Amino acid sequence: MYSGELGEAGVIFWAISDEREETLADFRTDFDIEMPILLDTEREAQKQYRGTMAFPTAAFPQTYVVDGQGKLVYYNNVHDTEELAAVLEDLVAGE
Amino acid sequence: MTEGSDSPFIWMSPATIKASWHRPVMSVLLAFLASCKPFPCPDGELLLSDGSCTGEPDSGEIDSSVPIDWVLLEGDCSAGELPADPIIERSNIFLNQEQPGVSPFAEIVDLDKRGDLLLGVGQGGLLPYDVSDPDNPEFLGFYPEQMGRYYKVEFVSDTRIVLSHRDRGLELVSMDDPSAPRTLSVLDGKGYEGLLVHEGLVYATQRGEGLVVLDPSTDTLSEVARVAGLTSPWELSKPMNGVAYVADAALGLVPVDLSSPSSPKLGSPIAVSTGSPLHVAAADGYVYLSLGSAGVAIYETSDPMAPSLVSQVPTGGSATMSWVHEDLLWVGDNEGVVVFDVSDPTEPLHQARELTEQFALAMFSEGTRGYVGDWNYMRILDLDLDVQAPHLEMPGDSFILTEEGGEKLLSIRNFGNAPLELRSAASEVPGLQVYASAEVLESGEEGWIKLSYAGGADMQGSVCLGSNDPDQARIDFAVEAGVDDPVISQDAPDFVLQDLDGTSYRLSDQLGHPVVLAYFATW
Repeated sequence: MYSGELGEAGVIFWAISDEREETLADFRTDFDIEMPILLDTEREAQKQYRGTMAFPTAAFPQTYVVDGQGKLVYYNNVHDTEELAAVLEDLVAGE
Repeated sequence: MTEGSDSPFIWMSPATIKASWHRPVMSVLLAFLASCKPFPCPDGELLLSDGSCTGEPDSGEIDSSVPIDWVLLEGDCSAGELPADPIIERSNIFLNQEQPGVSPFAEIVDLDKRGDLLLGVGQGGLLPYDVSDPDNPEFLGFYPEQMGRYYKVEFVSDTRIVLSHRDRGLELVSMDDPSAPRTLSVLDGKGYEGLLVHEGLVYATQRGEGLVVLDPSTDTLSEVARVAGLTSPWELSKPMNGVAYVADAALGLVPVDLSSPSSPKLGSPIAVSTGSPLHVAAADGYVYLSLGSAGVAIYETSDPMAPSLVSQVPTGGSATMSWVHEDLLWVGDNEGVVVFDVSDPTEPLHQARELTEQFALAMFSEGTRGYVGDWNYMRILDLDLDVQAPHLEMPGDSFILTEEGGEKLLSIRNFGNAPLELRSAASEVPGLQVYASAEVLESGEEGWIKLSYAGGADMQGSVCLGSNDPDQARIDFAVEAGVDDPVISQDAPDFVLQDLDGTSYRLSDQLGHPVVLAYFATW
């Protein structure tokens, strides 16, 4: 789905939102988003993931990493892509 | 949304991308995350003009040259005698409807009011409320054609309003029938934010551009003038003595000479030393600049084009909007509202604070009555000036200690107008003791809570703190040491969701590959 080394590394990126489809479609066009934007209109997935947090927050963004065995291995509520990249690097190196 | 990015964030810079294989990861993530506005920011963080958050602010340092006589707090946190609550909620309206084609959210970011008609705007679009009866306000209806990323609303006349929309432009809307608003025209454009109506003209600030002057006298907004020179202008104040003020997150406070209404002139920006200007209000010769976690800065305007700073007050949260009327300054600060007596703006006096459930970003006030846009709630609050009561402001609700033991200092403040008594504290965690820098904090005074942990074991528990704050006589917060975040190593909840193209995605089908799930909001 993504070209270059990311695809080779096998990391999958999904964006999820509970907003309206039209809003998200505009957003995808405006910002040229390539990754799939999944619709969680009923907030079911959001409720489940929020439930895994020690101190649940309603604030976005929430970034979760699931490893190749289906375990949650990382969560953050801020834009810390350095830390996220380090987590992904470890995951890819270990697989 | 990061055009002209003035972000101080290191992650925004490609130069920080070290290992070469990070590049594609980063490019996808940056393109995506940079386009999402984290709105509102996590607790205690400040929303910046480019849509990013500041990160957790420094909670401050204790001046070690002044010895503190720590007081050990003990007891059971039971409420003793309490004063009355100075802020009473008269009513609220919560919007969370699930009707097809109708916004399920309000997500209010601005309010304006004329007569009995209160208008909110936000992701839910234009939200009209009849507030003639403060105990039973009425929501007049969603308007699906007016949904999306609205920023500001302003009355042009009793029956006509103007709205700024981040992507769509400016909308002129008829309110002849408040329960059936009618769009008269849309002026296309991006980045419109702050709005002012003055001398029959509409003034709108535009990100990366400047100030645009428009004539709303027909059903179509026509451009009268355009002045360049603004960068990240969030809001424009009402004018005083022919001068209005712009809160520009990049430039600071910018005076605008409106003495010739159809040809405004921008003055020299006054830079701010802390915080980021998000909103500006003007009243009685003073300008009130909301600066996020740096609080509210107050300027006097005896020289209107060169206002000078006379005071600055923290609010406890991240100040996003204020309103001044009858010498009362009401501030919406994400976590709630805080009220100051500004009869002498050089020395604002703490009156009261009320925490709210969601994100109190929008504020309008009439004397002792406050209208709060608390995300999906519209709340009507009444302040009783005769009540004397403290408010204990805590810096968070969970704190991490090290398993080896040690001390953790929590900065606290009394946002009420009466002395705050720190009465008791207790915890079931062995070896954890709670101290206060003083037993009593005067109105507006800052102090410290010290958590002292003997260490030796991982722990997870809670601490209660008892005070004479009528809103929260007992506060419970979480403490932990050496415990991994429970999120780690749980099975990720499985789901099947469709994307915008109708393709189904099941998490458990991706076994063998790491998956990054980025929950986001387009705001």
